[in-house]
Amino acid sequence: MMKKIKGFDIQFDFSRFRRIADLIAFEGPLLSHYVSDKGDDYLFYWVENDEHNNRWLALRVSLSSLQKYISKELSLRQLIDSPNDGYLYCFDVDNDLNYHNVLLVQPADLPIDYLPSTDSFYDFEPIPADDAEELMTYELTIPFKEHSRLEEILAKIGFPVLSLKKAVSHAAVF
Amino acid sequence: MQMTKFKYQNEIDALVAFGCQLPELYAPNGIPACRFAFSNSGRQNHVPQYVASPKRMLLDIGKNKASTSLLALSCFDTAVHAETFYQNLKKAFHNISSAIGDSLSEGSLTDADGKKTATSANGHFDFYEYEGCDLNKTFLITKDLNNNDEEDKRI
Repeated sequence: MMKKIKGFDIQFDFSRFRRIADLIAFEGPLLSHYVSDKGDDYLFYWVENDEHNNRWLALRVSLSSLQKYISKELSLRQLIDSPNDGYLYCFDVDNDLNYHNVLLVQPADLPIDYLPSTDSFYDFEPIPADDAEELMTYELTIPFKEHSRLEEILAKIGFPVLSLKKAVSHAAVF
Repeated sequence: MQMTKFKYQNEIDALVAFGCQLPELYAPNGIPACRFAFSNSGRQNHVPQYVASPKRMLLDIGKNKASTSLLALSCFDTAVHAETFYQNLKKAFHNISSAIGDSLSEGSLTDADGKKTATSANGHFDFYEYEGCDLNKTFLITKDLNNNDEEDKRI
């Protein structure tokens, strides 16, 4: 039996989300990076299961936060505590991969056992989706500081960095 | 000569039809291996995620390429590697024991059991069982992985 969660029932369509990478997996995904059809980055985070469902949280995050998480500058706990929208989605996925019981939840209302430890720094290898664009994987996995330095260098030689970012965003969605 | 079939050959064939490929596989040569398992006898051990219920998956495999890895059993080459990985998972997922098990189990993998992928730097490899293989008969639970004195850093 899953925990009862305080939140608001909502309808939310996850069907057009595209998987970019499983950031943590063990015999299946546990933490995955997805992009919405609008190009927004989301984390899908497994929290609990029972005999019928697996429960996940989804939260919108910035690409820079994701990069900082991958490069161990931010913990998973910090990402979960501060989703971009101020709230998270909580939903159950059954054995036929139907999504149901979608709730809008505030981080403060999450049960304590849904929270990562404060020292939950990334110590895994991302597994890119087969069909994820290489550029997006590159954006995700290159350490944040190196990425910033690369952008600085590109800007100095007059490379249109913003165009590159748009291309990456586009590549992630289509 | 008849080829030995994998335990989940039909499912593997279905995924291959979707465009997935089996990774390069090797004979295990009787190596020792560690897996996570449930100490509660009511839970099924040594079952790949793709055939577990409920599946811990997010996507319809028909729409998105899945990996044949979901039909393999995750193993580690040493108990130290397995425990390190488990404790890292525990920091991120408090309820991880209900998903992958609460205990370490150890055994060895023979060439008659199946084939393995290459071992990665963290000691992990996938094991594809042959028909008739049942690790419940050869792997024994050796340690409770939730019984440690580390301070809970969730608060």
